[in-house]
Amino acid sequence: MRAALHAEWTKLRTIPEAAVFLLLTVVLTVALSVTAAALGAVDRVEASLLGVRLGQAVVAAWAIQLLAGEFGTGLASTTFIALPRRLTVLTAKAVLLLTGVLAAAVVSVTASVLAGRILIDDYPPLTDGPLRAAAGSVGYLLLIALLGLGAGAALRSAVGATSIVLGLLYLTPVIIGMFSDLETQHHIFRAMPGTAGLTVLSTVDMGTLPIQPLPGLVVAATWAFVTLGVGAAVFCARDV
Amino acid sequence: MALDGMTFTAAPGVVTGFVGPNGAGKSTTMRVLLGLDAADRGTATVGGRRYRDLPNPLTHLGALIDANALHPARSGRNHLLWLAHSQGIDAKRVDEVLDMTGLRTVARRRAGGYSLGMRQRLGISAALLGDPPALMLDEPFNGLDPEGIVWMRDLLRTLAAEGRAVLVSSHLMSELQDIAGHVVFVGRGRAIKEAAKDELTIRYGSLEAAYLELTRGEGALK
Amino acid sequence: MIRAEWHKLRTVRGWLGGLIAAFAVIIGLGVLAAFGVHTSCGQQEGEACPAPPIGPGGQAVQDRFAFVHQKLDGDGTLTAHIADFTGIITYPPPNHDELVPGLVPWAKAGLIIKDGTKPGSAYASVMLTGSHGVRMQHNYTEDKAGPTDARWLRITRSGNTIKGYASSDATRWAEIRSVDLPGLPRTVQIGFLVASPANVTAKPGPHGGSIVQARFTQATAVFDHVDRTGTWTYEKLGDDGGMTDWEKFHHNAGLDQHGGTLTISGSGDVAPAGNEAGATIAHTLTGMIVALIAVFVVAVLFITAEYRRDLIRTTFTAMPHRGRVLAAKAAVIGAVVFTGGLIAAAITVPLAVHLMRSGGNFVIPSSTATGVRVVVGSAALLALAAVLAYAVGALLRRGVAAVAVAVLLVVLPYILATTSILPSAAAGWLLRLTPAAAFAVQQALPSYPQVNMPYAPSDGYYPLPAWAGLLVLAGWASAALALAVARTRRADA
Repeated sequence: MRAALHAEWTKLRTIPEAAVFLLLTVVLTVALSVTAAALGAVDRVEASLLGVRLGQAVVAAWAIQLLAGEFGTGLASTTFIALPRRLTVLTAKAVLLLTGVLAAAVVSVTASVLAGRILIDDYPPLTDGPLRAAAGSVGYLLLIALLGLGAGAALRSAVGATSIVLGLLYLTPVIIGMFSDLETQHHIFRAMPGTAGLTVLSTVDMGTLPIQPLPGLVVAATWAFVTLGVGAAVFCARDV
Repeated sequence: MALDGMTFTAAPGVVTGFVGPNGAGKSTTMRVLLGLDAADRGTATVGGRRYRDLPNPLTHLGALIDANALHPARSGRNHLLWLAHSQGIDAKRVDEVLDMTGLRTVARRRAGGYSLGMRQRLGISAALLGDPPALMLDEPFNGLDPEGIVWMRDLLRTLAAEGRAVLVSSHLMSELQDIAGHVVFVGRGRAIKEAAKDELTIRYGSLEAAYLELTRGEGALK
Repeated sequence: MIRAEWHKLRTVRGWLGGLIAAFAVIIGLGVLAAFGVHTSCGQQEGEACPAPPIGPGGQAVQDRFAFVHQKLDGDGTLTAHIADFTGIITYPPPNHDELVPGLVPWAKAGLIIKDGTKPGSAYASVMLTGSHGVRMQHNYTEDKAGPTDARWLRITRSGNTIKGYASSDATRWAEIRSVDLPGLPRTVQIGFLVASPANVTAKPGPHGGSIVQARFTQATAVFDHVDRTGTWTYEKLGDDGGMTDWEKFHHNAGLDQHGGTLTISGSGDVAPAGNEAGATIAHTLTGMIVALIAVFVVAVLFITAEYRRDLIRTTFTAMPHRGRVLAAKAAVIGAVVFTGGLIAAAITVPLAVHLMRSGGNFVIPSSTATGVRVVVGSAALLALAAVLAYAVGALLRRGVAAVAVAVLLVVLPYILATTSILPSAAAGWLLRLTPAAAFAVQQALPSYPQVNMPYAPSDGYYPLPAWAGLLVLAGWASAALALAVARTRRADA
């Protein structure tokens, strides 16, 4: 495991990909958060963390690229010759992915909250709800990273996996909008990772949400771990 | 079913030619042995153990399967560096193999810009990284210029002379002329015949003739 | 060259399959949406909703006002002075705890000639408004401003021509407009109208977007110096039978006549209906955003696959004018997506509208021209977005990055703007500047300055006109294509 981690770390630091994706995560997240904070909204905390909605796309894309990218270039066969225990490879990649995303998420969320404090009047103190929103955002981004890793491992096509995951995250509200029946709308809202998971950003009028933040994160986590399980099975079993 | 009864030996100190027409199952054999492809039935073992159970497998068996299996943005040296780290091998060894394969001068350039010949050399470097007692090279002559072919033959001969078992696949008998001490002919996923080079030259006159005679009608299978 | 590129696109089974799947998604989701729309009014499930009246122009309209009228045979005229115009607004912001005297901006009191008393029938009217001065309006959608300080109004009929005049001193009359109401019968109704639309405000919602609130209002106008005699009949036109507490306990709508002075109170509006009346034809094309992602994947792979497999060297060797090769590929992907999108949209819209209507839902009617614009425009949107994604692919040469960029440029702004995530002002700017501006082609209902509605992107109203939205997307696509050509000319294949 140590050797696998060392090897994957060397891979990561010898091409600019990881740095570009992580930098992009921070830049886009903070940029949208600051814009939203400057525009203002009823939920001050959610406005200051709005960038998470954008940052998740970069996180998912990196996670997918980290795994599916190897199949795209053909590097995967070299990796499996050097490290034939595939589950170890996947674990090593997951550890590095989570570490990187954790760092980027903590930086982005901290910067977003600080910007919110400066730009928004009456920004609430970082306790209870607001603290849950900030910490939950980091947790949500980690789950999206795992979802992306699983999708990349299961599908192997970076382009295909990216479009499916981004579609899953972003198109749910559109699909919900197609149904006029409130109950159906709430069912879909509760079932999908993007909508249910991102309730973690809300801090006011919690009663009107179709699902509360904690159960929402559980929904996102279920999606992430089921996808990762399927991905791991395909990753370990399928011929290269 | 791509393979059916592929049994042969590659002895230490000898270059074993692994020849047969395209699609005869040469690459598949190597890939199954390395655990890249799964066998429906049966086992593939290296020194009595499954490849995936070998600790630091590159120190037991060096393999070159696909010279293009690299990230184009990573430099050749860094490609070898992560491979070294995956086996707990010191970074010093990376520079040693780069010297052996003559890639020292281009090692810090993006591997994506390498010619196919340079990629083959990088693949050989990777196979030699763990200083393994056995080597398995799939079509190492592909993409080499005449000078490169001569260099590759010398290298393979030297590696065998150091006491390693060297298995080299090719669909062109001529590439293995002069260096293969032992030849395995394959067709339709089976080893048709294996024999010492001397035995073959005596019986068929030349390796080329042996190849044509033995692999007639043993083309692609499906 | 175009033939060669078409052959390439056609022969990769996954690409063609992806495109066909994308177009199937448009139809499939359109049909699903048709079944998903489910309206019921009243206590019982499945009870049909009253459909709004349809105006002479074919659009859904509001036609609810206090109508005091008498018969007019042939030509004629009506003049009156508005002595007083007041109103009441119930429980407005900020505290929603009082009844406030006042008129909403588009409260209306004036003279009207109308083709009978059926809601939706043709009319022309000259009126004083709450804060927009004197206007001449006819047939629900038309509006022309008159003087702001006039209190004397006159309306005349001569054949099919209705003229509206206004004056501040009853001696000098200014003609506001002369309008034609084709097919007007010999006998029409002439009289007074008083209407007061709901007081509508939008405030930001706690979970983004905006919450639209509408409050009951009532206007009262006193007309004197009426130059027509005879009996006036009061009618609460378009009344649904419901009454607010204000009407029950304070002051009901109606007519109060003392000598030549008529005091009329009323609520409602005579105006085009917004999309609160029901689903629009554009609703059936919601699935397009899903198809867009599949189209992006194919468009991006169409070029990045060539780089990955070094096919581009072969291509450039065979066709050395690189810029032209890129343009040819763009033309092929654009044309293929346009054709497929056109077929899919042309099937989806009528089919889904038919399904919705046969399911007992009211679908706001649109003119054929609007329908064609929505269908053809949506196909153009798909095609231009495909070219944009393709150009980004040619520029970046990385499949994942290109698809992600295309999604972030086109899909994300659309989602942020239309699903109540961003405040409407920010949403409006996203829909002006980003490629998502092109979704304006799907706006099925026009917005009217003479209707006080928060025309928000989340309700299907876009800040740019359809052609301008498409132009913004075309600008993005051609800029990306130009950059890609520049890069390809300079760089090695």
